[in-house]
Amino acid sequence: MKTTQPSMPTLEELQHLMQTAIQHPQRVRGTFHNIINTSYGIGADQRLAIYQRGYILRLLECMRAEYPQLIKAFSADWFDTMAQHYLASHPSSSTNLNDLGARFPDFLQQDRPDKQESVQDDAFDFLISLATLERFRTETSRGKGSENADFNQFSLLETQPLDSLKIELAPNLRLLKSPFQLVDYLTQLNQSDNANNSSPELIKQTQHIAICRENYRTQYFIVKPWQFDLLVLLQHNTNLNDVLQQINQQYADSAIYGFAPFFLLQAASKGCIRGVCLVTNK
Amino acid sequence: MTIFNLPNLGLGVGLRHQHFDYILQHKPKVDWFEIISENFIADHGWCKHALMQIRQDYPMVMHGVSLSIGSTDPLDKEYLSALKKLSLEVQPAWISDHLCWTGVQHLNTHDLLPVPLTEESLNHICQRIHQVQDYLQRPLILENPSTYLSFAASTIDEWDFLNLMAERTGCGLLIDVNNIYVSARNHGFDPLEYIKKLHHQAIVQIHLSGHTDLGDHCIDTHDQAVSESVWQLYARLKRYTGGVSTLLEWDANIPDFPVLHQELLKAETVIEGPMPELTLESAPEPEPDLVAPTTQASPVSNPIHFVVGDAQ
Ligand SMILES: [Fe+2]
Repeated sequence: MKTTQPSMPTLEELQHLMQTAIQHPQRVRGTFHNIINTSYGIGADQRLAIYQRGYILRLLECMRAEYPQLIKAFSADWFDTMAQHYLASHPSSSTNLNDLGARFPDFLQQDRPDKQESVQDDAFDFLISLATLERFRTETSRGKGSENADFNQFSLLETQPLDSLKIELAPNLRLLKSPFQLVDYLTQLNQSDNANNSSPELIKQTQHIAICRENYRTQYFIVKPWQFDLLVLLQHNTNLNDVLQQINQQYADSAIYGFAPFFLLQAASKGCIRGVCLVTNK
Repeated sequence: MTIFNLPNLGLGVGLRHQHFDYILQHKPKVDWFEIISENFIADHGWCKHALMQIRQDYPMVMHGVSLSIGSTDPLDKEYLSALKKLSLEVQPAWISDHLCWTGVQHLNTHDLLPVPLTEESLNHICQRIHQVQDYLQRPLILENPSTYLSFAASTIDEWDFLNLMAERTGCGLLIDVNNIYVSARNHGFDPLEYIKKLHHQAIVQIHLSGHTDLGDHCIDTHDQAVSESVWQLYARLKRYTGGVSTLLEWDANIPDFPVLHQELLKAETVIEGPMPELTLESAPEPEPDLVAPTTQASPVSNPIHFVVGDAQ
């Protein structure tokens, strides 16, 4: 054993200093000369640089894996720049990486240059909408789904009056109202990948998308506005009677009541619904 | 339970989601799999589902990267609870992590950062190992990390630090021979002396993996085949330990499963064949300013096997 050199930082001080150096290299340059050994001609700053590079590249790789369509639709360089700004302001505080990119769509929204303008640029709306869709896809893919639901319970939708039912949506269902025909755009984007076609067409027209998972396959389920609102309401209130009354008031369309069971059965088959039971069956 | 009750699982590979379908379909003749615990702790999708199916056919070990045993932050109780919950489902042969810290101030760098090898660190870490073992009700297995810097304050050699840690807490050692080689090249110690001086009875498992040799230093990239020098170190350690569970890690540029499997099977030949001569290349003469500036193409140490994906 060698002897300790005097005036060394405590373990706690050292870790705070080193973490700052890794996450914000410019803040503490030159501080480590007496702390980190030089060998093979590689000094403290160069040795730290290996950790600094590794830190950002490792997390950037995770961000790229979570937002592949955003990279395809815009550019890899633009994405890397935005992701690095994002990581600098949103360092990970989780023991896993599932939520590393969770606030990226919000970050893009906060960062949009036309934030103060009265008329907002469609390109930024598209960007944020696409980022949100990709994040939702990740959440749906990893979240608690309806794969273990008992399929027999869904027959209640056919055999019982709707006002007697409670509906539990799959926790991993995500709902996105996009100002663009986003799913069509993505289909074209991924096709043009293979066929080397011209850039896909982006149509500005609202699309209501349910992001759901059926038998461990995440998919986009395009729904009508009333169906979308029905699902949104069911996320907060499981009582189908209450929810249908609200939808009826909102849309003033009595036909909706007749279509609702078919839609709910379809939604169940796509993994949007985890449970159906009678209101009295608490 | 002590580390002396832990079995020799044979030859295994790190379970990566790219291979789930292959494994489920072909049930390859691999003795066991090691999972990255954090990839499954908060997963309720295809990956977790596939994991539990694969678990029915193979023994497993849970290998973590976020315990942060060396951190001066308090131990993360929520993480430990999630780890324990996962272990009740997976029923691993053991749970391992690294001799490192990953962050302070409740942040996570997702890197395996080195601790100064001092009495202060040793006391701090041993006290935390006791806490973790009491909570998990099983011995913890800790791995030597690959390191790119050493601290002027360090007073204990890494092998002694590991030995003392195991002696004081009853924890087991996971010895990554590639990490020893990478660190030896980066700091200039003798890797043979390192493996010779380890307390071999405390070694529960060995890791094998590939690295990137940049001339004046090496990066632990887990992106290629195991180097000849590392195989040679493995053969020596194999003789010292008399045979312990061995696992191949491959985390970037991941090849098809049969390629990975072939690489793993080399460990069998090393075990059975004659002890190869150990010829390690010596470190080159010091040359200043050789570390590349930040570029996208830089090799990344400790690559994360980040799980994104659904059923195929
Ligand atoms: Fe390892």
